[in-house]
Amino acid sequence: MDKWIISKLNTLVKEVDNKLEEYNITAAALQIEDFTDELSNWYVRRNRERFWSQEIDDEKIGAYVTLYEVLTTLSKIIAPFVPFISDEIYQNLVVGLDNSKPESVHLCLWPEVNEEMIDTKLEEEMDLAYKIVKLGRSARNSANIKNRQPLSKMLISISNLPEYYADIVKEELNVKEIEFGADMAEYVNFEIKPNLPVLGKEYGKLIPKIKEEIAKKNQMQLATQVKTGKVEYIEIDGTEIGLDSENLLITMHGKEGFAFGGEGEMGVVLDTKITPELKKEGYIREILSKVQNMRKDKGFEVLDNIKLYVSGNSMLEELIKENDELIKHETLAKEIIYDLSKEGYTDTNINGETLKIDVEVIK
Amino acid sequence: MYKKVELKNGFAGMEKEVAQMWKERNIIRKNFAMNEGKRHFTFYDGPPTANGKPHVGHIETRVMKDIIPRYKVMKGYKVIRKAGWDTHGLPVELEIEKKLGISGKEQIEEYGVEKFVKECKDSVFQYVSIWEEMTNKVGFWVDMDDPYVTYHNEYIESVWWALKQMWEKGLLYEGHKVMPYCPRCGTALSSHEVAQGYKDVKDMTCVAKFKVKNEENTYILAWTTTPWTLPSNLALCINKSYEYSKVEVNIGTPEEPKYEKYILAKDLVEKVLKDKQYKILENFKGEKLLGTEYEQLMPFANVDGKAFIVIHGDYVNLEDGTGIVHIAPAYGEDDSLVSKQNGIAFVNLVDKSGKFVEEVTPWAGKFVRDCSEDICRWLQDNNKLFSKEKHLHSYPHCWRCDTPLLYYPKESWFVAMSKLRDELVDNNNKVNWYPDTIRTGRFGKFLENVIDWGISRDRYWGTPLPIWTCEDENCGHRECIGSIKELKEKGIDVPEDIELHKPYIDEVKLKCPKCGKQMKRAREVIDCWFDSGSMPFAQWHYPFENKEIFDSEFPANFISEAVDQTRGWFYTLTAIGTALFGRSPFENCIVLGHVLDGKGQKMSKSKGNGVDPFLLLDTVGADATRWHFYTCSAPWLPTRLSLENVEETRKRIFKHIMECIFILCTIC
Repeated sequence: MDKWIISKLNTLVKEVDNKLEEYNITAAALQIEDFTDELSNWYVRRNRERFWSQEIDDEKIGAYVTLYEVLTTLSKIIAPFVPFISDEIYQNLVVGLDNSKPESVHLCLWPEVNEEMIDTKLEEEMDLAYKIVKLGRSARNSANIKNRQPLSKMLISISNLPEYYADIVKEELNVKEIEFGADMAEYVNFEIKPNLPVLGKEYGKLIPKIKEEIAKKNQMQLATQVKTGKVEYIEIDGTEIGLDSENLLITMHGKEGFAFGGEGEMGVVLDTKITPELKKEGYIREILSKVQNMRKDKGFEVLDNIKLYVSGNSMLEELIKENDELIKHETLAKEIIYDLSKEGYTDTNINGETLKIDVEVIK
Repeated sequence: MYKKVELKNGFAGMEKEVAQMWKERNIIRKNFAMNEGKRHFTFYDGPPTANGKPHVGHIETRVMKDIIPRYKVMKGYKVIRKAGWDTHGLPVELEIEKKLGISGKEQIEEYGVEKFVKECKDSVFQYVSIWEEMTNKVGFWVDMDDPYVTYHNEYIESVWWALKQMWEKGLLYEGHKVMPYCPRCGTALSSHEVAQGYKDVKDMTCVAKFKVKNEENTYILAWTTTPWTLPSNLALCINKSYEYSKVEVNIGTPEEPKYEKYILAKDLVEKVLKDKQYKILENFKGEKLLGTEYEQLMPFANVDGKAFIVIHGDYVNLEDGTGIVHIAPAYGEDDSLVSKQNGIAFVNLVDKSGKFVEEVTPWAGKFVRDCSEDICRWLQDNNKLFSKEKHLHSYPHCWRCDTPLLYYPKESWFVAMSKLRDELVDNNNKVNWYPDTIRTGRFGKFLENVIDWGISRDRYWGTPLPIWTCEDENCGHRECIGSIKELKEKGIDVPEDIELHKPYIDEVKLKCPKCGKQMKRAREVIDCWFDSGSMPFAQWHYPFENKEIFDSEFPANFISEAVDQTRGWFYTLTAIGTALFGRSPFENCIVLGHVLDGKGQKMSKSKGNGVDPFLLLDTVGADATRWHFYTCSAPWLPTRLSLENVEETRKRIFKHIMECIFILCTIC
């Protein structure tokens, strides 16, 4: 992961430089915007355990050194765009630490590109993994299933992804298994309609016939073609009409039992069937999340040990007992106490079930 | 370990603190001083006028101008960023007229030219502190401590030098040309100024009947959109290659017919006579009509010379009207040209304030454009009107005061840009325009059709035209003065500290080297666009000083302004650069689109949908505003802007960065 973000950073330095050299300000700025999204929503997120780990080990230091380098270099790249915040960041991260450095980001030269640190293949693969995750998240959203609810399977249209990245995708999307090279048409319903305000203006009377022609086409093919910016020509009564993303409205959604997310040529499908096993796992994940939130709300330090109290739902209590080890480990609970008489519980909604939960810090 | 990046006072508060730090530690000066002795990257700041308050559009130009020089400094270039102020010209005079409650040149003369010019000078920096505050808040780093100012003597002297260069190359001439003229401002306008003020208006138009001499009941029909030019009609113009028809029309009733014969283009018979009962008597080539004489339409002008005759002009077409154009030589470029070619006389029945002169008895002293209806009625009463109707057309208005322009014969000074047309086009083709379509389209087309640049303005507050003419009419010798030194050498008792402005400069007389009599300066000042177009050299007082700086700072690598400057600064830079240095003074130009409101509507005072630039900078902050302009759309497309959508931009971009910084600062 560190190698990836450093590679991305060097690519960014190079690309923004090239774009500004060509006076292409907008493309340069948008590339920076993409980078900040990847930094925060992918690099930092994927490394949260390293950042928040209890021991100060090489892993943690490595993550910090990497993030430090990224942010200080980023402050220089954004300096011509946003002169204020860039200097604020630079002042706090650099000047405060090392007064041999120039006293303002605006007295710095453009960062050097370290070509050796650029690994195009690594970037492509990781970018792909991140893209799949984003599509997976949108599929979950469309089916209204929380990320904490594990799912059994995801199907992806692309043919393969190295195992390392596949594992990341599984973990991020909380799915057990990935199947590559899936035929989206098996899992997805297409709805392709003329965009009336656009097509109607030009071909008002032909609309019913256009609809017929569209229905005759292979929906998957037509959708993919149009979505990738190509034009499909049809002929009606001697008039040639080009169908494209402007004049068609394409909606795609998963068939019964599946959720779909797609962009351009790539699509992912989640199997939304929740088995009793998955359901139990979902409860545990939800309980862990609620306990963690409660720790935070009560202002406990990250490394504090706690006592965990639960009550009021025999099914969930049974489940907690079955997963005693896991829960203790994840929440830093020294013991779990099942006591109905205790006061100060909070009624908590665990995927539709009510559970009384409380936490106490152990001094 | 790190000082936390906290935004207790929000982004705008943080920006204020950072700006304060820059000031305390002199960061801006240190940035300006970077890369001394390294290769130069040259940026020209197009001068704004500081006699009005800045609006959000000015923020856009400032942030676009700012980013490239900052980037180039980081890349190791020496970048000089000299600010400039455009200070001369009609807009300033109009402000002062308003302030003093006077209007027009007569009242200015009455008030006193010296006092008036002083008022102008005092007013140009009225809002300069607001401009500086805006510039600082937006983070545009430009040297405002040592700006170039177009009214300074040094600047004017450089402009004089440029005019003298043109004079010596034979590019500067006095012409008597029909010019777009603003009757309110009392001054001629240049073509690029005219191009800025076209508006759709509904005007009364009519088809008049011109009685053919010695032929009973026969009339030539001609259409005009400016009935006020009819009293000055001296000719009718046809295109000899078209077919024309003589038509008999019943203008009475079917029961009581009354017949008249009309002559008009064959192809337009149906369109013009639409609902009338008519019979085509004969068709013939236009050639046959040439030399046909007709009776004077309206009996006001005493005409001395050839007139009231049918002539030929290539430009006559069959798009509108009757295929026959009425010619009043004084009020149109084509009219003037075709009249000269055919030796037609000249008559002008309109005075300089746009009113009819005494001879036009029914309407003497009335503003001509207000007389259209009356003229149509007069024609009707005298059986000289065929038809009239209101017609929507695009008509040029004064870009400053909104008065409809008149075309008017005026003595004026010109730069013969049409002689340089090919060079202009070639030079422009070497410029990188962003977007490229400007090069061949909007700007390229303009250059391909470039006409001579009318640079004289019959006004007060401007660079004086440095041309002196011998008072002896028989001598008439002319001198163009190109420097203060030359002025002192050739002038009579020139004050040591002569200010190069009216009225002081008008008092300076030269001694005629030909006849020894006195020479008097032309009364005009010049187009203020000539001032700003001279900034590549005038900002350095070149060639009188700073030759080395000029050599390394010409041409500019980069300029950026709004799209309306294709008729303004982009043009005058190109024109002067081509005339003096044989090249365009800039290599790369980012053209900026307009700023619209959040819904995509044009911002306007009347709608009240404008965004106050200071409210924007003080609440959402400069960085977010900058990022919004950089990312919202390509710079040359319109940018939608409201407080809300800049706020969204701010969240979109800074949320991620701030989260990462939070993690770094919290854990370490």
